[in-house]
Amino acid sequence: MFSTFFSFEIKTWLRAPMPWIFMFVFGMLAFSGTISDDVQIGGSYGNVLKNAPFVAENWYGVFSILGLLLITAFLNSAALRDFENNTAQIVFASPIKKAGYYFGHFFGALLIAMIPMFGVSLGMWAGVVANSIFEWLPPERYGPFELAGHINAFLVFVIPNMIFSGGILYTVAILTRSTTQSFIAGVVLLVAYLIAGNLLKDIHNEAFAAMIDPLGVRAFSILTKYWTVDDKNHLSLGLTNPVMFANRLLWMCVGLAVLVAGYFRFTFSEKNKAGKLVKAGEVKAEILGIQQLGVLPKVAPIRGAAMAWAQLRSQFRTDFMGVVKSLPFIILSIVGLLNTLPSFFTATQSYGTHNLPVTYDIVDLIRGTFFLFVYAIMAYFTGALIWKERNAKVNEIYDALPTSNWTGYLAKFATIIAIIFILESITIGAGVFAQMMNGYHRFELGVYIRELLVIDLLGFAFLTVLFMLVHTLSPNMYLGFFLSIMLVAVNAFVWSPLNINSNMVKFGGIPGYTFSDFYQYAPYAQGLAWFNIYWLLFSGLLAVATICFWVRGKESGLEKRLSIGWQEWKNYRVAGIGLLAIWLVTAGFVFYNTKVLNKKPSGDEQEKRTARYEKDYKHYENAPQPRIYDVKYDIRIFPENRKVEADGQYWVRNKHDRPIDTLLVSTPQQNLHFSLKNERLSLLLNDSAVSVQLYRIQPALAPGDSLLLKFSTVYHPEGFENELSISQIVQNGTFFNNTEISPNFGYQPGGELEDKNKRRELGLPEKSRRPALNPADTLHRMNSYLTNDADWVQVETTISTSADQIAIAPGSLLREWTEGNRHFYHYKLDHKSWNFYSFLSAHYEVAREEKGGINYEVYYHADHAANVPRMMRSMQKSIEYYTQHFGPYYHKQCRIIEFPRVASFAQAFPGTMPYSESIGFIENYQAEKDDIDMVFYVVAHEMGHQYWAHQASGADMQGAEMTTETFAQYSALMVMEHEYGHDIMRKFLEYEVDRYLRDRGRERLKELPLAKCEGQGYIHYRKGSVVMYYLKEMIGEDQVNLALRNYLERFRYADAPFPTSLDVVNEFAAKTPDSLKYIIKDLFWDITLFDNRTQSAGSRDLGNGKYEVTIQVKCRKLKADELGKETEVPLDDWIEIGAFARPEGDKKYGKTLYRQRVKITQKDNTFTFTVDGKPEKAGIDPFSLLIDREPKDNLKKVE
Amino acid sequence: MQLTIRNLSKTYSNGVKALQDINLDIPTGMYGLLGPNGAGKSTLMRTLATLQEADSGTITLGDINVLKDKDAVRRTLGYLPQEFGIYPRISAVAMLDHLATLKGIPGNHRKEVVEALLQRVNLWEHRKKSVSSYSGGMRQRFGIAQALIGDPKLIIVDEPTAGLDPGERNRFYNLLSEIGENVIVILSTHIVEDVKELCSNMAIINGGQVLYAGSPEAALLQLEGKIWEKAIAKADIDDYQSRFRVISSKLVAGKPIIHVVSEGDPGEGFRVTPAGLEDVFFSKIMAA
Repeated sequence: MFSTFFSFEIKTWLRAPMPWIFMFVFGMLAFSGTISDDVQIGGSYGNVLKNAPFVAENWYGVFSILGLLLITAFLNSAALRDFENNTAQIVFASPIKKAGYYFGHFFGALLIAMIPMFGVSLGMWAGVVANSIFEWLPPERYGPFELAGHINAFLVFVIPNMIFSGGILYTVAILTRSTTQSFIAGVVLLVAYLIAGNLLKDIHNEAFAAMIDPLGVRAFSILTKYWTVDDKNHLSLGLTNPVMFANRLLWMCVGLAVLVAGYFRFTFSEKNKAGKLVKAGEVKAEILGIQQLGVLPKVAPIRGAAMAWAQLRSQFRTDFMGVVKSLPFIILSIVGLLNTLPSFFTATQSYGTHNLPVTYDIVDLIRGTFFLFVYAIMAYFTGALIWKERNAKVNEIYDALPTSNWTGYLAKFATIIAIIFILESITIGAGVFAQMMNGYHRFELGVYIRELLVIDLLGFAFLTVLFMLVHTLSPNMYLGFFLSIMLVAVNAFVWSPLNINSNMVKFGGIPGYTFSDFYQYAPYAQGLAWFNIYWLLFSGLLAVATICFWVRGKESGLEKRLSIGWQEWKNYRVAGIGLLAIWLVTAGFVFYNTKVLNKKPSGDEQEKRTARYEKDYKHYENAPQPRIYDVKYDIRIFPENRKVEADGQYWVRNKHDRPIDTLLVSTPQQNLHFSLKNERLSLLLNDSAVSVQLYRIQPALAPGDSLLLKFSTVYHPEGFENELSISQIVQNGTFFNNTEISPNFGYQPGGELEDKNKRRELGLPEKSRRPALNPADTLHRMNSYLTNDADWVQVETTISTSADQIAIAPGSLLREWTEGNRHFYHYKLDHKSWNFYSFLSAHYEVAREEKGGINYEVYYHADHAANVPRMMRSMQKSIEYYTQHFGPYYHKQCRIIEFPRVASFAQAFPGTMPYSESIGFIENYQAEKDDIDMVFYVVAHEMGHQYWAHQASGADMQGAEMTTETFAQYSALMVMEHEYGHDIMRKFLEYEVDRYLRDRGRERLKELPLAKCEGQGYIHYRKGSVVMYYLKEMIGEDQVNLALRNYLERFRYADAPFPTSLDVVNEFAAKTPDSLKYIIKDLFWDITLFDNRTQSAGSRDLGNGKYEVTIQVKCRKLKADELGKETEVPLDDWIEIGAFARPEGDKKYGKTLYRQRVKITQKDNTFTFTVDGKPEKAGIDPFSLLIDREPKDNLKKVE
Repeated sequence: MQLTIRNLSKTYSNGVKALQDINLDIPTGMYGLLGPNGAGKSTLMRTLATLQEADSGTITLGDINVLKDKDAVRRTLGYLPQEFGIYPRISAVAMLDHLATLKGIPGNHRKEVVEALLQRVNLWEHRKKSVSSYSGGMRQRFGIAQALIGDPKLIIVDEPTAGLDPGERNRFYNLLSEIGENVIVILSTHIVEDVKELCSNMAIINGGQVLYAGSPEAALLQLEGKIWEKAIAKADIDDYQSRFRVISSKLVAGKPIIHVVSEGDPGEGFRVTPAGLEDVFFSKIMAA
C-alpha cells in the first residue's frame, strides 16, 4: 500500500514541470555563482576556491532555506491533492490503509522535493566545465571536484532539513487541510531560524544557538567560523562532527515526531462541515422563507463625488477589517513583533559593551528585524486583496455594481498602507518604550516619523503599487506572487551587472542617506525629495494603468482585456496624461541634475580609468619629485551651501641629486575647480579623467633648491546627485582631510586597483600589497607608508566658517575673530608633523581642561555630552602613561572632535582626533556588567598614535602597520589595564582573538606573520593586541616599554630612511632573556596557534573554605602557512592555568582564585592546586593570552 | 422598457462559439431562458450584466447601449449570479449595507433599504449572523436581496433554484414573479417547470443559438397532437431510437416511457399525449 502511494507521488511529480523548473532555477544560480564574482550566494568567500567543498556545502545550506518554500509547495500538494480535487471521498471510500496513504505521499513528495537541490551540484559542476572552456575567471580559482562536500551537504542540510520542515509542514497541511496554514507554518520555521540568528549576536550564546537552529545553517557557520582558506578548500563538515550530528538528529526527530503525531490524528473522514456550521452561526432549519409583505422602498442609485467618497470608505472598511481579522495577518504581525521587540532590549550590546538606544539605531533595528515581515505582509495581502472578490466568488456581484474602478483600487491600496502604517507605529511605540526602559529620554519622534512613516512607507507604497499592477495583469494569483517576487529580485540584482546605477531606473530607487544629529538630513534632502517625487509620480502612472486594467467581469483574453482597458482609459485620460506630463518634466529635471550637472562615471568606467592611470603613469613611480616641507592654507567654509574654497601654498624642495624638470600632480579628486601656479610651471598635460596634471618646470629645479607652489581648490555643489558623493562637506559637521583639497606629487600607488581578479580582467600585472620587508631596500625606506611626497611639514592655517560654527585646523589657535557673519581662526602646528591632518567645522559645545601645559579639549554636539568626561580622563591618563614610558609629547593640545556618523571611526591627526558620532558618543558603559570601556580604549588608542605614527612611522614595506596600529593597541591596553585592572583585560583579548580567528578565514590573498603584515586589520589590530599583551606578560611591561622607547628615540621625527618592523622586533629581542627568545619568532615571524583544551576539572572540599582543584588539559602547538595549513610543532611553552569563583550579580567573570604560569612540554597534562573559595570554572590559558584555535574549550565547569 | 438583443455573437479564444447571432426582444415581466448546460445561457446573462464583452451585435435596454454604457446599465441592474460567495467574518446586514453603498444608495436611505430588504427575504432575525454560515436557501435569499437593491429595472437571475428544496423554490418564485410585474426579470434555468410556472415569455437556446423565442403557450400549441408516448422494455431503446424521433425517455415505475414526435400516429402502440414544455425543449434541442 505504501509503495502504491509512494510511486504514485513520484510518477505524478516526475511528469510535472515544477521539480525541473526549480532545479533549473537553482542550477542557474549556482552556475552564475561559480563563474562570476558578482553573483554571491551566502556572501563572499574571498580567496577560497570557487568550487571548494566549503562553498558547495554553504550553498546547500543557503538553498535549503530557500527550499523551505519548495518543501511547502510539494508537501502541501501531496497532502491536499485529494481534498482540493474533491477526490477525497472516492479515494477514502476505497479500501486503503491509513499508514500507506499517509507516509506514502509524504516520502514520495519528500524525495521529489530533493530534485531541485541537485541543481546546486549540477550548476556548480557546469560552471567549472564552462569556465574551463571560456575562462571568464582564471583557472587557478578552481580546484578538483570534491564529492565529499556535496555528499556531506546532502547529509547535513538537505535530508535533515527536508525531514524536519517537511514533517511539520505536511502534518499541518493534512490536518488543517488548508494551504494558508501550511504556508504560515513555513513562515514560523523561518522565524525560528531568524531568532537563532539574533541570539548569535552575543557570542557567548553560540553553543546554544548552534543547537536551536533548526536548519543547521547557523550551526554550520559557528562550527566553521575559524576555518582557514586551506580548510575551506579541502574540508567539508559531515555528521561526524558531534555538535552537527546532535543538532541534525534533534531536529530530524522533531520533524518525525510531529509527522507521527499527525498520523494518529489523521482520519479519512471529511471535516464535519455541517457540525461546524451549526456551531459557527447557530442557524437552524428555516420555517418561513420569504415573506410576502409590503413594498420595498424605491430608492434609485445616485452618482457623484459624495457617493464615490462613501463607496471608497465602505470598500476601505471592508478590505481593512477583512485583513485585520484574518489569521495570516494576526500571525505574521505577532510573530514579527515577537521577533522585533526583544531585540530592542538586547541589541544595545555589541562586542562586550553597551550603547545608548539612540533613535537612529532603534530605527535600523526595526528595519533589520521587522521589515521582513512587513514585506511578507505587504506582498501577501496585496495579492490577497486584489484576488479577494474572485477568491470569495463574490466578484460577479461586485463587478456588476455601478462603482468606479478607482474607488476599489484606492480602497485596497489604502488598506495596505494603513496596515503598514499601523504596524510601524506599533514598533515606534515599542521603540520609545524600550528607550524609556533603558533610561534614555531623547526619543526624537521626528526621526522615527521621517524614517519609518515617511521615507520607508513611501518605499513600501511604491512596491505596493507595482505588486497591484502585477496581480491585476496576472491571470492567476500564484503566478502574480511569483512574478512580484521575481520582479523584486530582478530589480535588486540586474542593474549592477548591467552597469546601470541610476536611481531613475532601479524601481523605487532613492539615494542612500545617513541621518545625523548634526545636520539631520540636510545634505541629502534635495535628492531624497526629488527621487521620491519622481517615483511617486511614476507610481501614479502605474496606478492609472492598474485602474484601467482593473479586472471587472469574466473576460480573460489579452485582446479583450486591452479593449476593456482602452474603454476605461477614456475615464482617466485627463488624470493619466496630466500625470505623465508632470512625471516627464520631473524626470527631465532629475536627469539634468544627476546625469548632466553631476555626471558620474559608472563603476566599470571608474575601474577602467584607474587601470589606465596605472598603465599611463606607472613609469613615473620612481621619478624624482620635489618634497613638501612647509604648508599654508586659507580655507573658507560656507556650510549653508556646502561650499569650500581653499587657497594653499606649498614650499617644496628638491632633495635629490639631480635637477627636476617635470612635475606630476594628482589633483584633488571630484573637485570642480583646481589650479596650481608658479611662473616656472607650464602645463604639459591635463588628464582630468584620472585627475592628473603634468607640468614642465623651467628652469629645472636644482638639487637643494626650493619652490613656492600656490594652488586653489573650490568645491561648490550644484543641484543634486544620484548618490551624494561628498558627505564630508555638510551644513553642520564638515570634516575633510588635507588630501581632499590639496594636490599630491608623483605617482600614487595607493590609487591602483587592488582586486586580484579585476586587475587580471583589465590586463594589469599582479600586484603585491606591499614591498617585501627588507631593511636593505633603501628605495622603499625613503617614504613612510603614510605619505610619499612630503617629509615632516610645518602647517599654518587661516580657516573661516559661518558665525555659529567653530572651525578647527591642526595646531594651536593663535587668533580668533569675527568679521561680518564669518568666524575666523588662525592655527599653527607646534611641531612639524606628517603632511596628514584634517579640517572641521560644526556647531560645537567645547569642554576644556588644562593640565601640565597641555590643553585638553572635546568638541561635541550639545546632546552628546554623556561620555565627554571619560574622554577627558582617557586623554589625560594616556598622556600620563605615554610621557612617562615613551617620551615627551610635542603638541600643546589634545583635541577630540566629534563628526557626523557618515563614517564610524576615530582617527588620529597631529594633536587632533576626529571621533565619529556613532561610536564613543553613544556608548553606555556599564561597569557592573563587566563592560569593556570602549570610549576609554578608543581614545587611548588614538592618543597612542600621537607617538606610534605621528612621531615615528614605518617605511612603506611589510610590517609598517605593526609600528603604528599594533603599538597604539598595546598603548591603549596598558592605559586600560592601569585604569581597570589586570583580570578584566581578558574580555578584550577574547574578542580580539575571536575576530582574528574569524577574519583570517576570509583572507583574500595570504596571511602573514605580524612583523610582515600588509595592511591586514585582523593582523595588525587583533592579533597585534594579543601578541603584545603576551609579550608583556612574558618579559614584563617595563622591558616592553623600554624597547619601545629605545626604538622611538632612534626614529622620532627622523628623516629617511624610515624604520622597519625589524628595527623594533630587534629591540624586543634585546630585552628578552635567552630562555624566552623562542617567543620572538613565534609571535612576530611565524603564524603560531595553540589548541589548548581542558578535558576535565574536578575539586575536593578540604574544609575551611579550601578546595583542591585537579584539571586535565590537552595542549597542541601549531604553525600555519599563508593559507592556514597547519603543522604541529613540539611544545616547550609557558602557559597559564587558573580557577575562578562564580560571578556575582550581572558580572561576567568570577573572582580569580588561582592564576599560575606553568611550563608545558607534552600534550597531556594534569595539574592539582589548592584554592580559597569554591571554584566554578577552571582550566588552561584562562585569560586568553595565546591565540587558540578554539578558545571556548579552555575552561571547564568544575565537577 | 424593453431589452433588445440584435445579432449578438461571441466566440471564446478556445474556439467555442458561445453565442451565435442572437436576436431577442425581452419585454417587462418574467422571461425564461431555457437550455441545457453549456448552451450559452450564462454567457448571455453575463454579457447582459456587463461582465463579458460581445464580439459583435448590439444590446439596448430602453435607450441605454448596454455594451457601451456599462455604468448606466449597472445602476439599473440587479444581478444574482449562478454561484456566489461572501467574505468570511462579515454579517449579512453589514454586507448588504456595503453592497447598497456600492450600488449608490445615498446614506440617508441606506438603512431603510437594507432593513426592508432583509425583512422582505425574511433574514431579519439572522441579519447579524455571518452570511458564510447561512444555509443554501438563506444564502440564495440574501442573493436576491442584494439584487433588489436600488430599484433595478433589469433583474438577471442565473439558475437561482439549484439546491433549493421545493418549498424554498416556490417561495422564491413567488417573490420573483411579484417583482417581475413591472420590470424585466430574466431567469435562466434548465428546469422546464420553472419557466412553465413563471414566465410569460421564453427562449430556448442551445449551442449558442436561439432555437425558439416566444410564449410557452405558443410553443405548446406547435406540438399539440404530435407527441406520442409508449412504455417499452429497456433493451429496446436503441431499436426505437433508430426508427423514431425519440425526444425523451424517462423511467416511470422503473420502466422506460419514451416520447416521440410524429405528425401522424406512428403505430406500434404509441398513444398521443398532451405536449409539455419539456417536449418543446427536447424537440427543439433534438431538431437543432
